This record gives sequence, structure tokens and C-alpha cells, in this order.
Amino acid sequence: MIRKRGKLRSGAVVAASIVPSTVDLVRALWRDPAHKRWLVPLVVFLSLTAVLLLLAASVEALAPFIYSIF
Amino acid sequence: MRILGISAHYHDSAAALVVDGLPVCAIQEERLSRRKNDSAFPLAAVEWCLDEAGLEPEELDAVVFYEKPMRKLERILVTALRAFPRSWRSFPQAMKNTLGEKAWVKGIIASRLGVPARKILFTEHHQSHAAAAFLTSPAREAAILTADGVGEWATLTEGRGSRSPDGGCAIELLRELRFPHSLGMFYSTFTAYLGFEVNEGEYKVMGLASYGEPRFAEQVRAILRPTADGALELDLGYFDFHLSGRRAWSSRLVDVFGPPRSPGHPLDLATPDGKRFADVAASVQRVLEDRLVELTRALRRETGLRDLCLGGGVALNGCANARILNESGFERVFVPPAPGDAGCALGAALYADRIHFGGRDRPVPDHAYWGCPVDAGELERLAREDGLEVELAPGDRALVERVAEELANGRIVGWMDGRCELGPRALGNRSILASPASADMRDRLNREVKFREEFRPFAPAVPAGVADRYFELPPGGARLGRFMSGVFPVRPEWRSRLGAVTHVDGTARVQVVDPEVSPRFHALLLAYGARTGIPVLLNTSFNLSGEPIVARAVEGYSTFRRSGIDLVVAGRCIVAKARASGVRREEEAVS
Repeated sequence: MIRKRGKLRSGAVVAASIVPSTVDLVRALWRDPAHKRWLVPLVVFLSLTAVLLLLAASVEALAPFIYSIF
Repeated sequence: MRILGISAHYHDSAAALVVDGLPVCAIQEERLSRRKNDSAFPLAAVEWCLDEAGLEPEELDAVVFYEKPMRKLERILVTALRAFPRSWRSFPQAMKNTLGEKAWVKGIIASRLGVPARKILFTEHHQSHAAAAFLTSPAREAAILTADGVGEWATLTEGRGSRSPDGGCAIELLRELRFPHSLGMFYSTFTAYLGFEVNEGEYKVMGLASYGEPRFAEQVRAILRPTADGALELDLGYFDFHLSGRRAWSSRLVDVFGPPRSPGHPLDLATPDGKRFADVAASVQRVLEDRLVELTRALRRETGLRDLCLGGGVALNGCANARILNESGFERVFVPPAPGDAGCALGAALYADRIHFGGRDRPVPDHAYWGCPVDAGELERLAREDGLEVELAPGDRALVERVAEELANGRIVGWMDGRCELGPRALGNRSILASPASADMRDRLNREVKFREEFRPFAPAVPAGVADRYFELPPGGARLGRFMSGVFPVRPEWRSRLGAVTHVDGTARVQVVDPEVSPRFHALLLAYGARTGIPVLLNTSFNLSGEPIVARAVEGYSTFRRSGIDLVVAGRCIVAKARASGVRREEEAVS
């Protein structure tokens, strides 16, 4: 039986995975023989955006403040 | 080791469980969620797999996802930036789609299943396809070709797989073709151009192709052309799929082939436009086949191997597979029952077991029946609640004889037996069966049961021992027919007596039924043959248009009640609608 987790806890687990996943991608881009280092700032920016979106989805009280940024 | 494989988020999500090197179960999410081509995270499929094996998520040694989402994100970013400024409209949508859930699969798996992140592994998309093709085949050593729309960057890979006597396995992908040059995207673009749904209507293009002449073949060859190094490239001037999410083709393609067909618009082959669409389909099909034959011939020369394993969505093209078998020089061609993304769940799990963890090779049972079993008691209960007459056959023999008699009398049977199939084909466990004798039956099925286009053919099923009598199977053809993966000519002398399953060009997508794999279905074919003289049945998937194939008895019963199916069978339980007057033996109608 798969235990159902709360929205907040699920969001926290996913958010925690964003950092290592982003680090992996940044590392791969840095080493890429096709010279894709220029993508790193964009990837970091998008990852931060993803964290904000995830927070908005997981913690409903924060949503109005986060959506106002956009 | 207990390894769970997962494919999700693009189309056809699925889960598969491998325990101690052998698959235990595998199922597509759509069969449980009842949403056709469901691409959501396959929580129901995972839960069913774990329940089936009696495992808790924490007892898993690894969870393997079938592709690397961060490399996919990289491809989406690079493609969007290359296409700037034309991509400015589609970029925010692509990012919203990707950043919401698709990119953070490790976190999604960890949060949904409660497994620690260190147990979550990733294979490359085409590694999963290659593993699904090679590791499920009986070949000791084989060349591998995988082709689909796109994975991370790769759209087509070539390589080889081997099993060593000490139980080790190796899969080596030697080269790859990269996005946007893609056989899958090429075919899908024309699928959309012809007004069919991408990832669903490719079969329709293949069916439609038989009605046309390949008079545009030279123009299509100029669009999909070979390169000096033996690869392929698309002339990107004809395509927009890499530039915008709005339309897959460019105005240049319309200049050459004419205006596209609007989705849902009636396709009348008697009109000039209908003929043009059929000719475009025939040309695209011809060129796809030619290019695949060229690639596989070169692969055969390079590897010198006798066997070829095909994977990826392009391997669902039965006409191309048959030409590869006939013309590439490979003696045997293996296509798994689920060569598309659903099969990648199993491929990823097997890849992790054999390659990542170095597990000992074990022969994978050579069948497609990895899904949930049917409960005959459920069908009995539902039918009794509705006041229908229920018949319980005393044994397998009696059941088979009774159903064969009904089929010989021209009735349409919904047949559920054992576990449901993994993959898009109904292979005798979740099938609608009918007499193949006359084209009237084909029309009746289209009109009363399947509610689908008239130009789409139905497939025949035939016992392995007699397949050659009715169909022109080349050496290795029976193997390709095991999972309905090849299209072969019906012998001319039988075409008039197999009218419901003979396509307009005299071919059929044959299922060759092995008695060891499907004993009851095989016995049914023989019993039907004993009555009619031809042990061949029309076999089409047990579903209605737009719905997934049925998995459980309740869905089979619901389909039976909502369509023109006369009889539904689950295990030894038979439920029939009231017999209509005027039903006669189908063969009498033909003669």
C-alpha cells in the first residue's frame, strides 16, 4: 500500500530534489564538449522559478504573494 | 533484487516490476485510469504492481525512470533558444509544462512512493527502448535499432546487444541520430497533416497508405534524405515542430502536398482530395520503409549478426517491419509487444537489473501477458444483477466448443482470458473475436462495435502450425507475427474467404498464436477451424473508439452492453445478449 502524503510534505520532498537535479544539469552543461556553459544562468533562473511555483502550489497561504511577483 | 521501472509524462505511462531478474507484472496506467494514452505519473499502475507482488515501496531495491528528464530540459531549452524569436509564444508553455512536474522526477517519485532518493535511478530513453527490445528477446547476440519521435536528444540509435555464457549482458549503442532529425517526428508530422491525432493516428496513416499510389515519393525522399555518413536528415524547411508548438509542418510542405486535412473532416477516397491524402500517406509510408531498409541493411553489413531487435514507436509499423525482415539480410527480427514508451518501463527495469547492477541474465518469458487478471466471478455477478442469463462452462473444452459454435454462427464475441496484454495490441487475452470470412463482418464491426473509419483493416489470428497455409510468411515471419508486428500477404486463394481481415492491398497484420503461450485461444482457433474449415479468427482490441483496451471484467461487461458485441466471455463465464433472428453461419453467407 502506498501511503498518501500531505501536500506540504510532498512539495517539500520535490523542492528538495530540485537543487541536486539542477546541480547535475549544471555540471553536465559545464563539462559539455559543445560549450553549453552559457545555458547555466538560464537553468539556475528556471530552477528558482520552479521552486517558487512549487511553493505556491504546496503552501496555499503563500500563493498570492508569489503570484504577485509574476 | 526488486526493481520497479516507470515510464511517464509524455504518452502512455506504465509501471513494471522485475524481481530477481524476471518480470513479475507490467501494466499501462491507461488500463487502470481508463483514460486513453494516459501520460500522468502511473501511481495506479505502480500500486497494482506492488500489490501483485506483495511488496511495500520501501522493500524495493531501486526505482528506475525510463529517461533523463534534466537532459530533456536541456534539449527543450536549447531548441527554444535556437528558434528564438519564433519560439517566444511556445517557450512559456513548454517551461510551464516541464518545470511543473516533468523535470523533477526524482522528487516526484520520492514524494509519491516514499522511497529514498538514493534508490532512484535513470536510464536514457533509447537505452530503455534497446533493453525492452533485446533483453526480452531470445537472441544471444543481436543488432539493435531503436527509433521514435524523440527521447532526450536521440531520435534513433543503432547498436548491439549480447549475452555471454557466464550470464552477463551488454548493450552498446554505437551511434545516434539527434533531434530535430527524427523518423518518428517525420511520420507524426504527416499524421497530423492528414488530420489524425499524433501518437494515436499513425496506424491510420499506415492503413490509408494501402489505398493510395506513392506518387509523391520523390518529393518525400527529398524531405527525408540520407547523409554521407549513412545517417538521415530532415529538410527542416518543411517542418515547424522544432520552432513552435502550434503546427508541426511549414507552409512549404503545404506548397508541395496541398492543403492539410482538417481533423474530423470526412475522408472520402472517391474525391480528389481523399485520393490525394491517400497518395501522401502511401508516399510517406514508402519512404519510411525505404529508409529503414537502407539503415538495417547497413547495420547488418556492419555487425554481421543474424538477429535484429527493433524498439521505439517506429517499430509499431508492421509494413516496415515486414520489409526489414524481407530485405535487410537479418534472418530474425524481434519486436517486443510494447516497443513504444509503455514498454520502456519494463526496459528500464531490465536495464538496471542486467547492466547497472550486473545481474545474471535470465530468459524472459516470451509473451505479452503481464497485466491484471480477469475475474470471471465479477462478470457473473454483474450479469446476474442486470438479469442476464449466465452460463458457466464445465471445463475449458466445453467453453472453447461453445464459443467456437457462436463464432461460426456469425456472432461477435468479447473474449477475456488470463492477464491483460502490455502494449497496444490485443493478443487474444482482451480481444473482440469474429468470423474473418466476409467483408460484411468488417463493416458490421466498424458500424456496431468499433465505430471507426472504414479504411482501417482488422487483423487475423491463426495457429502457429498452419499460418503458412493462409499467409505468405517469409522465414522469420511467424516470429514477427507472434506479437502482431508484421504485415504479410494473404495467399490469393484464401482472400475471398478471409474478406474481413484482408486489407485492400491483399495483406493482413497476422497474429501467429503459439499453443504454449495462449493455449485456450489456440484451442478456440482450432475448434473454430473444425467447424468452418479455416482456423482463422478476426481479432481486434476489446475496446470502443477512444477508450483504452479493457482490463477488468467490469470494463469488458460495460463495453459489451454499449456495443453490438453478442457474447462476452471471462474465464469460463459466458454472458450472451438475446439471440437475434436471422443469424446464420458466416461461411454460408460467403459461399
